Amino acid sequence: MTAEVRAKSKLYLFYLDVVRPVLKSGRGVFGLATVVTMVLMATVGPSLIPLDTEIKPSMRWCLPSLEHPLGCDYMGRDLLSMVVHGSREVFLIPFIATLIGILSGMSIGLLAGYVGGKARRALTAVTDIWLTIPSFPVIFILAYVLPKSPLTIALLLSLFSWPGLARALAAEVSSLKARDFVEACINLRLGKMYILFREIGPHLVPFVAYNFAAVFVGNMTSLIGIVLLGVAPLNPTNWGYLLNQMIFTYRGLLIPNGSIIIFVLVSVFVVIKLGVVFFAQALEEVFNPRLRVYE
Amino acid sequence: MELRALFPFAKILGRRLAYALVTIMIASTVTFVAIRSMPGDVLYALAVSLAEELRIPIEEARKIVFYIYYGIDVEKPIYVQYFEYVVGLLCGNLGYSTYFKRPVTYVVARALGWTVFTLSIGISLSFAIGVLAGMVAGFRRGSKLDSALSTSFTVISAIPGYAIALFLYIILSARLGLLPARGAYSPDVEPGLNLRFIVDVLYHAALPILTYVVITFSGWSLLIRSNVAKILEEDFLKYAEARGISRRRIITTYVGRNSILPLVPLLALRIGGMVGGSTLIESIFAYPGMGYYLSIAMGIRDYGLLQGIFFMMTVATIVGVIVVEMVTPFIDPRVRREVVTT
Repeated sequence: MTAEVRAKSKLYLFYLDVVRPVLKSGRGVFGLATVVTMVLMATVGPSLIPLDTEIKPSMRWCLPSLEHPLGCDYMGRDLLSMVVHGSREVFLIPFIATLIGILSGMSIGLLAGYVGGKARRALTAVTDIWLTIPSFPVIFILAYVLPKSPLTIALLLSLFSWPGLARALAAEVSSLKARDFVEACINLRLGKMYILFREIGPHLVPFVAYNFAAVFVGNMTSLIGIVLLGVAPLNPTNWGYLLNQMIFTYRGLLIPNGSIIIFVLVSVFVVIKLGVVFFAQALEEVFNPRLRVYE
Repeated sequence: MELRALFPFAKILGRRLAYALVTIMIASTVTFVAIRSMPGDVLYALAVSLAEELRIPIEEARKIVFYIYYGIDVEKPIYVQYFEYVVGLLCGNLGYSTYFKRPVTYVVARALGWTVFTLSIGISLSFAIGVLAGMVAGFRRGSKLDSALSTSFTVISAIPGYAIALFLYIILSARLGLLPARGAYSPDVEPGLNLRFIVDVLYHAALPILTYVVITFSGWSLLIRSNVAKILEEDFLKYAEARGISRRRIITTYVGRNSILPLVPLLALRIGGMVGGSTLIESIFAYPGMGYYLSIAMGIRDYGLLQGIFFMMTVATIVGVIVVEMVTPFIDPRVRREVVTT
C-alpha cells in the first residue's frame, strides 16, 4: 500500500468513525455546522466581509434586512461585519485559555488520581476552596488592572478552567486503577507513566473532549461578560464591547429598535454556544461507546 | 448522645472554616494586587489636594492617602503591608470609598441585603422547580414529555446568564412593560414595614429573581432526571413496591431523597458562581446589590469600594456554602452515622 492510499484510507476511517456518527443526529449536524462556521468566521471571514466603519445616522438601529442580515448598530454600521471581525478575539482568547486550563487540569487530575490517598484529598481541598471564590469578579478586577494583552486575559480565564476537570479526572482515574487490566499492567512491570498515559488515558478522552467544549463556551461567556461590564477590549469589535456600547452608552434597551438589535446580537452568541455544546455531546457519543444508541 | 449528634456539624464547620481562611487569603491577595497596580490614579488627585491643604510634599500626602483609604502603609516592606492589609480586612476595616466619601461598610450594609434577598430566593426557587421538573421527566423516562422537557432543559442551560437577563428585560420590561427594570423600589414609596413597600420591593425583585431561576433550574432538572432514572432501576425499589409501600412514599422518600442527595454538595459549589454572576445581572437591571456597586466602583475607579465589595462577596459566598453544607446531615443519614464508625 502506498503512503497516499494509506492517508486516504485513514481519512476515510476518520469519516466513518467520527464524522458520520456525529451527523446522525440533528443536534450533531447543527453542532458541526456551528463549529465549521466559527472556524470560517475567524479565519477567512474578515477578508471576505470588509469592516463597515461608515457612520450613517439614517441607518441607526435599522432592523435586519437582506442588505444587513443582522441589522445595524447605534451608528448605522452593518452589524454582521462587526460580528465577523470581532469573532477572532472572542473565539481565540477563550480557546487559548481553555487549552491551558484543560492541560493543567488533566495533568493535576491524572497525577492526583494515580497517586491517590493524600494527594487526592489535597486536590479535593484545593478545588473546594477554588470553587468558593466568586470567579467572575476576580477575572473582571484583574483584567481591569493588569496590563492588557490577549495572553494575560487568557491566563486569567484559565485560572478557573482547571478545577472541575482535575477533580472529576482524579475520581475517574482512581476507579480505573482498581480494574483488572491495570493490575495486569503492574504485574507486567510496565512503567507508571506508560500505564497512566497509554492504558488509563484513552478511557478519559471522551470526558476530556466534552469538558474542553464546556469550559470553552464558559470562558467565551466570561470574556464577553467582562468586556460587557466595561473592561476595555483589545479590539473594538469584541461582541462584549458592542453590547456594552449598545446597552450602557447608547441606552439601546430603551429604544424599541435598539432592543431588537441587542436581542439579535445576543442570539448570535447563544446559537453559537448551543452549537458548541451540541457538537460536544455528539462527539461524546462517538467516543464513548457506552452512550452509543443502537438501532 | 446529644453531643455526639452535634459531631458531624462540628466537623463540617471546622473544615469549612479552615477553607474559608484560605479563600479569604486568596480574595484579599486579588484586591491587594489590584490596589497596588491600579492604573487611572484617583488617589493622585486626592494626594494633590491634600498636599495643597496641609502644605506638605506630594509624596508625603500620597502615603497618608494610601493609609487612610486602604489601610496600607507604603513605607513598610511589601509582605508587612500585605499582612497588615489582610488583618485589617478581617477586622472589618474594608477601606474608604472615594466616591461616596464614606467608609465602604456603609455602602456594603445597604447593598448586601438586596443581593442576599434576591439570590437566596432565586437559588431556593430554582432548586425546588428544578427538582420537581427533573422528577417529572425522570419518572416518565422515554416518553414524549420527557424528551420535550430534557431538550428544553439542555437548551436553556446553555444560554449564558446575562443573555437570559437581557432577553427577559427586553421581553418583559421593554416590550410588554410588565415588570420594572431599574432599582429595588419606586422612589415615591416610603421604605419601612408597610404593605405598599413590601409589595413594591417584591415587584422590583421579580425580574432579577426570575433571571436566577431561569439560569439555574434547568441544570438541576437534568441532574435530577438522570439520578431518578438510575434509582428507578435499583433493586431496593422493586422490593419496596413488593412490600406494598404507597407510591407517594416511594416517590418522596425512596426516589426523591436519594436523587436530591448528590446535588447538595454541587449546590454548595455553585454558590460562588452565582454570587459572582450577580455582578452582571445586577448591573443590567441596575439593582442596587453588591454586584451593581462592584461594576460602579470599577467604572469610576473607586478601588476602596471595589476591594470592600469584593471582600464581602467572598464572605457571603463562604457563609452560603456553610449554610448549604450544614443541611447535609439532616437529609443524609450516612453523614450522621459517621460518628459511630470513626
